[in-house]
Amino acid sequence: MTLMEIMDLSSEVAMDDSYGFSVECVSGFKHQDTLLPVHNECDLDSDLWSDLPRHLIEKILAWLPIPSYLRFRRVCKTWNKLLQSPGFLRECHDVPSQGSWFLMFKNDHYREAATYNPSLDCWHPIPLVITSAPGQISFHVAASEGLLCYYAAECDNVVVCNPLTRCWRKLPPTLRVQFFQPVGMVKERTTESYKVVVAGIWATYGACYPIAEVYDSTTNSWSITSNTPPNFPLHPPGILCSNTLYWRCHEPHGLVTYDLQEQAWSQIHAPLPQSFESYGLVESGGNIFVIGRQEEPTGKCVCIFQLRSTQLTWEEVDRMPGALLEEFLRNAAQDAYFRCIGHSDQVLISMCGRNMPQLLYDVRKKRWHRLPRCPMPEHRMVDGFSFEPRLGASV
Amino acid sequence: MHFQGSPNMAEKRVKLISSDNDEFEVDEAVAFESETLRNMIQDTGTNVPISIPNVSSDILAKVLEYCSYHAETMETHDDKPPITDAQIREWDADFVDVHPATLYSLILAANYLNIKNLLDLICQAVANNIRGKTAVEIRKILHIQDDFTYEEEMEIRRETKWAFD
Repeated sequence: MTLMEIMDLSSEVAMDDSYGFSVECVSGFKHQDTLLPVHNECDLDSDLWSDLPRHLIEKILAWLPIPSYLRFRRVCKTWNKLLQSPGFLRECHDVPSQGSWFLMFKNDHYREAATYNPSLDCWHPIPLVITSAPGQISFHVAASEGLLCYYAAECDNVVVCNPLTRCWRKLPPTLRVQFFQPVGMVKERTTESYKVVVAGIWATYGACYPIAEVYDSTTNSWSITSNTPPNFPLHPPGILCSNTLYWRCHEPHGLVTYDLQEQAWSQIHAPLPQSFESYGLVESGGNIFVIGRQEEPTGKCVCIFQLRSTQLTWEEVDRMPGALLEEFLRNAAQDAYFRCIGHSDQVLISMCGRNMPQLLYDVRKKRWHRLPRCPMPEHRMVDGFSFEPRLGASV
Repeated sequence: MHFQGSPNMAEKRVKLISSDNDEFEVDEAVAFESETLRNMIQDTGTNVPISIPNVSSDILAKVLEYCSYHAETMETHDDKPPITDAQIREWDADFVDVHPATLYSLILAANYLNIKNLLDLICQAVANNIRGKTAVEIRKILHIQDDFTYEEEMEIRRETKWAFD
């Protein structure tokens, strides 16, 4: 099959008023500092508001939480087609981010997913729909500022898409790298330009070498990075901190970095405790954190370490409270797959299995939050990724 | 009516006349929050009163209250701690906690006077008001016709059904 399955948020119209976006869900807009509280529940007088000029209506729509906007596509044809209007997308571009979403696949076929939206503290049971873009999104994606990129085997190339507007673009062929995957993506907010880092191998004269290439949308071309990743394979997605991408690596425990300015790879030798596993990386306030599971004489625990960049050491800054940990581990099998997916200040912590609790940890506020139950029946939470939904992000 | 928005003797004062002929006098810095007024002042100077024919005095007073507060947040005083972003956000949230009819007049005024931050703030407040509404309610408020064809309606229904499968 050469068609791609991509998540289709327009099917949010399905949930409309009976599901997902009820008032109590909407009023739970908790993690969004930039948005105003709902003070005003008075009704709008239609004699007044029906005269509002169209460009002001579009400006207002751009400020809606994305699920509300998607629901309002049902209002009329014009509203339904706004996602193709450059003027409306520009308005959306100027509006601050609505925070990151966490997309979790239901099973290892990667055909169905549900998205947790922290700003509304609810799940959007988003199904996947076939569109004309090639390939299939799995959890091997790199994401930045509203765009996702993934490797599409059908065309042996990287595809960049905005899952909300369903715009997509196939990047030009890479130069030398083979058997690669996108490991990092960085999009510049103001210019809308982006870079994609892919890592793989270069097979030549019977030998294989690790190699990485960087795509730059301003020149629409790939370039081979001057030195090679020091530790391969990398564990995507890379996280961005001060114009440098960071990945975790296992041997030895530490980090691999790629400086986008200097175009140079390097390695940080900052060992974590030997038993530390399944950890996720996050950047918050210019600092790097890891969150993962650790074996201690007293049992398992979930810890958060911060990288002290001057001494290149990790310092424990927080850990999951005992009662929460007990609840979290209670129903989990001994070898249950544990996963941390981080984005910005937030990390989603989940255990693979049915009806397993999921938690969201805020690195900046040091706060734990229990996720509401996922509405997809028999959701096993195999794997997933986080991304920042942005209607205005163009490929 | 005289509006005494952040009086500063060293600064030029600007006279503004509302649609109902009330006169307002503000510092040039306050008027400069509006791109429209800035352009007018740069063209005609501060000696001539500027008439704003489509903004009434109660709305103009409210707009100038916003402009003077935000002009003040830009100033630095040695004796006062700077106003934090959180304080500004709180002030803004209180500012737009008004009846939707006032929001309506404010959005038109902010649009005409081209005050970007105020326009964004009001759009955000209106978005907050409508975000829980249904498509049917929105159509009623804005007098919008449901113009989907049968096929398009079916397409949406198909998606609807599929999403629940």
